[in-house]
Amino acid sequence: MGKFNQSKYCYPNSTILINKFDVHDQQKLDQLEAYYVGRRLFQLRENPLRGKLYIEEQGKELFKELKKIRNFSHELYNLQECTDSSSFIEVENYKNEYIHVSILNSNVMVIRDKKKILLEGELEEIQRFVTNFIFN
Amino acid sequence: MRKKTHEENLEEVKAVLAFEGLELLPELEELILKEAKGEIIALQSEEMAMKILGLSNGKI
Repeated sequence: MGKFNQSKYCYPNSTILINKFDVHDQQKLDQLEAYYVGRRLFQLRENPLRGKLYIEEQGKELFKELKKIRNFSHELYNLQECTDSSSFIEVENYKNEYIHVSILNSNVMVIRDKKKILLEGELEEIQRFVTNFIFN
Repeated sequence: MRKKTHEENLEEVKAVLAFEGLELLPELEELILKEAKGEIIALQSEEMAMKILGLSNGKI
């Protein structure tokens, strides 16, 4: 058996990210993530905010949510260490355009229309891009 | 323009989640819809979700 490359961001002898819920089961963690992310996406679809206020509130909502479930930046760094993660962040701007921030094969990517890769690179670059996307 | 129903919005959300390989359990879908219809409050929804997933700490 090959040597297991233990990440300090994962529970011992696993590739499951250490999380606030202390869930050690990847399937449960995925279901939990689907619930929280799905619920917020649903709420944003039900009650979209409009205009200038929309942009500001959207930003607040996003960052509030990201902080609440996972610390956005910290999570991105963590996920880089854990290659089998399928976590993502969906971002919508005031023009109702969507992008995804995904971690695939250890690379952080910004994806539009679920297929077109806009940016693949360093976390700081990704964060800057996402911030511009939201507020521009 | 016709306003989308709760169910239609949820279907869209499920498609986004599916793209990322995530699946919403039917019981959890129901909770989201119940919350949207005002049948339960957010806290109840989260508590029930924890129960459905068999988690006890309930921390967010």
